[in-house]
Parts: sequence; C-alpha cells; structure tokens
Amino acid sequence: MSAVRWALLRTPLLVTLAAAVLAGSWVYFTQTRANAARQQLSQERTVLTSVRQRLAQVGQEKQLILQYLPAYETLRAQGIVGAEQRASWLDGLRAASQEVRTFGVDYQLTQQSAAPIKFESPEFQLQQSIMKLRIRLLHEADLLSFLRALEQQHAGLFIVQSCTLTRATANAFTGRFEPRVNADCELAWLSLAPKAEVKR
Amino acid sequence: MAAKIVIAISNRATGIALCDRGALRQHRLHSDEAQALTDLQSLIAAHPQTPIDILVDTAEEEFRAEQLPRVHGPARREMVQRKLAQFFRTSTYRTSWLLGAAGDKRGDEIYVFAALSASDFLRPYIETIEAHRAPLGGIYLFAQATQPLVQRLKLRGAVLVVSHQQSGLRQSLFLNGRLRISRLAAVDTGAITPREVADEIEKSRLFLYNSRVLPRETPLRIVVLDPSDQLADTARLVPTEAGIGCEVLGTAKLRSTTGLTAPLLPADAESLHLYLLGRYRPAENFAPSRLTAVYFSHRLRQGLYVAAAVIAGLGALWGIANLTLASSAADESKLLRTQAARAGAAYGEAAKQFPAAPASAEQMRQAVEGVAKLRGLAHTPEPFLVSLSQALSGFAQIEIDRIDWKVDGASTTPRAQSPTPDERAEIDAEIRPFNGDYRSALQIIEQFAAALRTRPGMSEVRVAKLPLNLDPGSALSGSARDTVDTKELSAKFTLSLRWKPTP
Repeated sequence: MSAVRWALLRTPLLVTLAAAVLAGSWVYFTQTRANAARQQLSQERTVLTSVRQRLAQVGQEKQLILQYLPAYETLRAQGIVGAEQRASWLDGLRAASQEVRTFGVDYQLTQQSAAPIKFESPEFQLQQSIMKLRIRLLHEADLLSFLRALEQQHAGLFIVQSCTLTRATANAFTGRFEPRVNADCELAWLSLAPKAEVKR
Repeated sequence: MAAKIVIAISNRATGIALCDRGALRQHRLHSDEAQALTDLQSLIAAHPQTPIDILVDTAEEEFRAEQLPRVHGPARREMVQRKLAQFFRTSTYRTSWLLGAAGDKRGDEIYVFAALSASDFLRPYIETIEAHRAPLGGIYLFAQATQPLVQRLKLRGAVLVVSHQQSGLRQSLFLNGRLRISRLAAVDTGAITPREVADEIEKSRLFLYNSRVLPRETPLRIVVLDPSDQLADTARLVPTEAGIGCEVLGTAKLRSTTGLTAPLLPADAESLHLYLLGRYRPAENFAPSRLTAVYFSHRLRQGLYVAAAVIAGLGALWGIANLTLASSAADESKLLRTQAARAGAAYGEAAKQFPAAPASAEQMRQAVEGVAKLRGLAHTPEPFLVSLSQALSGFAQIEIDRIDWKVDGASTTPRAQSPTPDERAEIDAEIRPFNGDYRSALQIIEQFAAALRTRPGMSEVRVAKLPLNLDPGSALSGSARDTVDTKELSAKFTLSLRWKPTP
C-alpha cells in the first residue's frame, strides 16, 4: 500500500482496534458478572430445593430417627461406629478364651486401613484392622466355640478371613490336659468412620 | 446519501457543484479553466474528504461493440482487459460493460468497449485533485449519467435520449436500459430550436441504421430532455414512421421521474446530469485504479469507522444485556436466599421436636443398614468343618494333621457384597495305621476324595499330593519287607478343596 493510503487508514484502524478491544473487554467483564450471578442463582435454587425437601420430609426424618437411633447407639457402644475400640476387642478375646477354656490366645494387630470390602455410603468409610490369633485348643471344635463366644461378647464387628488348624503334638489322644490343636486365624475387625473425620 | 463534489467538463465550460442531501448546491459554471480550477480548489479545501466525480461531455469518445464468449470470473476480466488494450492501446481512460446476451445458441454476450480518445483537458483537474490528495471517485461519460434516468422511466428496447447543453446536442442510444453508443453534435451555444433538434435526430437515426448499430426494423423510441420547457414541439417535427415514437420530457415529467421538487429541479441539461451523477454513480468507471486509490482508501476508512461504531454499539448492547441479566439474577438470588432462610427456620423449629441423636437420620440409617449387610458377609469355618467331619466319618483310618481354611480373595481384592463367596481349604492328612500297602492307601485316599466331592457345595476336590510319587520322571525309595514296624511308615497326602457354603 502507498504511503498516502496508509496515512488515511491509520487512524480508523486504530479506532476500530480500540473499539474492538474496549467492546471485547466490556463484554468479557459483564459476561463474567452475568455468569457469576447465574451460578450464584443456581446454587441458591439448589439450596432452597434441598431445604424445602428437608422441610417436607421432616415428619419422615423424625420417624427415621426413632427407628434407627437405638440400633445406632448400640453400634456406637460396640465400637462399630466411630473410633476403634481395641480395648473392647482384647477384653472380648480374654472373655471368650476363658469361657471356652483355651490354653491361651496370642494376638497381633495391624494398623487400621481402608477395608477392601465394597461399602456404599456417602457418610461413612469402612475401616479394618487385621488381627492374627494363635489359639491353643484341646480340640478343633473348641475353635468354633471360641469364635461363637467372641461374637457373643459384642466387642465389635469381625469377619474371619482364614484359619489354619494344626496338631500341637504328633501323638494321638493321651488323656493329658494339654493343647492338642493350634489354631492360627486371621480376623478383620471392621468399623465405620464418618468420612468427614477420615478426611481430617 | 453521502455528499460528493461533481464536475462536468466540456470543451466550452466546466460546471462544479456540491451534491448534498439530494440536491445540487454551490453550483457554478466556468468558461475559464483557471477559474474553474480555483473554484475546485476552494471546494476541496472546504470539503477535504468529500469524494469527487467527473463527468466528461466531449466528442472525443469511441464506442465499440463486440460479441464475446460467455465466461466468468478471472477469465472474463482477462478477456475484457485484453480487448480494451487491443482496441484502445493509447487511451488512459477506458472501460467496458456488458450490453446483454447475443441471443445465439452458444450463449455469447455483447460487450461495449469505450474510451476517451483525447483527454488532455482532464489533466489540470486530475493534477489539482491529486495535489490535494482528494478522493477521486471516478470519471464518467455524459451519457452514463443519463442511464439512471432511462431506467427510472422504465424504457425498454431501443431508446435514443437527446439533450442539449453547453457543448452541443448529445444523442445517446440505450438498448434495454444499457448505453450502446453516444454522439455529440456541435451546435451554437444559446437556444436551439425544435427543428434543429429534429434534424439532428434524423441524422443520428440514419447513422445508426447505416452503421448497423440498429437494424432498420427495430422500433426506436426517442426521448428529448427539456428541463427548460423549450423543445415541446420537437415531437411533432420528428418523422413519424412505423416503429418510431418521440416524447419530450419537460419540467413536470422530469420532476415526477427524478422526485425533485420544483425549486430543486435543475433548469438545464448539464445541471440535471450533474445531479444524476451525484445521485446515481455509474458502475463503469473510466478512471484507472491508480487515480481512485485515495477514494478506495477513503471508502475503507469510512467502512472502518462504521465497523468501529457497530462493534462498539454491539458490545455496549451485549454488555448492557449481561448486566441486566446479572442484576435480575442477583435479585432472584436474594429472594431465594430469603425463602431458604424461612424454610430453614421452619425446619429448625420442627427439628426441635426430634429426639436427641448423635447423627442425622440418614447417617444412622446408612450405618445400621450397612452393618446389617456386613454381618451377612461374616463367615466362620464351622460349616466347612462340619461337612469335612461328616465326610471323614466313614474313614476311621484317616487322621487330619492340618486344615488350612480361608475365604477366597478375602484380604487382597475389593469384594462385592456377595453373602456367599467361595472358600478354599487345604488338608494335610495321613493314613494310620499304614503297613506299607500303598495300593490300599491310594484306594482309601480316592474314596475319601470321592466322598468329599459328594458334599453339598463342594465344587473342587483335588489330590495335591499322594503318599507315593507315581510320576515316572521322579525318583522313589522305600522298603518292601514283609514285616515292618508300622510306626516307621507313613502315607501322607494333601487335598485341595474349593467350596461354596450353601445358605
């Protein structure tokens, strides 16, 4: 383009560019405000819907509380909901061992971790601690009695994952009151932790 | 309509005017070129960005019509340029236009090529315009300015338009509204009589027939422009043959055709054509592009300002719409917040009636129902041991040394909440007493395995290890004495089991 033409076009080009920049900035600024206002409105709608829903279901909610409160309190007392009650587990072990008259229970407990069992709850996360037991028994049937007695202690919720029964001695029955069977079992003690506390 | 400066140049005088808001203003006629140039300079100085159009009324015009093949785009442009260069090699001011279809089978078209054969009279004006860097819009022939009038009169077919101005009597032939040829006859300045006009018309008519521009049998309509109402008798004097019609357009007719009121209607043909040029710019331009570059830039400049205004306007409107939306949304949010607070307060009042609870109803429900499902997953080895014991009851000689029982996939992979996952067990046992009779021992083991397979839920029973290694690829040692101490011999074996507890 010749010098004459560029001189004619310089100012209008700058004006057009300035108009585009200003218009674009103005639109961007106002669009951002409009988007924020729309988002805020959407949030307010969600909150209002949620509150109205709760209000509409307040009768039902009361019924639910009355229905589940006793069982929930029991779960809390047993340490199934909330923090692990390791002392209760050990008390349970001791009591079950005495009841069944074992020759002793040795235990090892891992640290708590997330349980691999699928547990669908937005409010709770399922945790587990693995307990390895060595129980010295007179008879293999005593293992079943021990596990039953442990459950009846209501010391918590556990799942037996494995058990290995082996002869304590190589001889047959001799009549002496001594351990004949060793039971090595692995138990998973389960508990529900509120997700809000887990994140903390 | 944008303002423009219009200049009509002839060999006798130069008319300069400003065409603005649909009327000619500051119209001056100069017989002296120097005065005309001075007037032009002052007009340009007063209106520096106003485009300038030049109307040329001269006898030094050439017209040629040529039939060309029908093409489009760059091919057409190139063909036309080639013809222009061929016909008017030395002419600076030249152009062409499409007259119409040739009407033949090939679909050819007829083009008119025109040029100013002499143009020195334009140089002072062009130099003045260039010196002031004023935008030159174009250079046009007098007859081109007549064309819009013909089109507004809706005159079709062959039309010969006659007008008298300072330079002489101009007669222009239009075919279906498009200029075909124009001729300027020199006549004395001052008033021309209707008889003189009729005679010139007759000469032109014969010229058209003889030069075969117009076939003799073609109907011809003659229109005489008479803005001063002095040539009304011309129509009566023109020979009336078949196919010839003549009409004189006086002031009234011109007023109705142009839409101009009496005070604004030019009183002479020059002014009329200046007005027509100011109002309707012809499409075909005789000025080369290098002369109209400033005008082109000027148009671009205007376009950019318009674009800037449109962008600014649209942006402003869009922004205002956004702000309106934001304001409306904010108002609605406030209202919803109030409603939510009210509903929350109502809920709070109702919740005071709830029994005290350590968690929400939903949380308690999830915990209680979830734990109930987990209890369903709890297993003990009891069902398996009972089943094993029942199978063993028929095999007193088998003693169990070790039972290794586990729930399948218990500790490693996430389990679906199936209440009855598979269980695995490995049993180490031996046959006691054993007298070395391996055949009997193997039979007992097989029978025991078969008995286990019949147990409900047992899906797999595999003999993992036998007391005697029957593999021909392995070494084997023992004693085959008749009397042996049974305490020394043993027939140990291992079974692998898989079973699903039946509910």
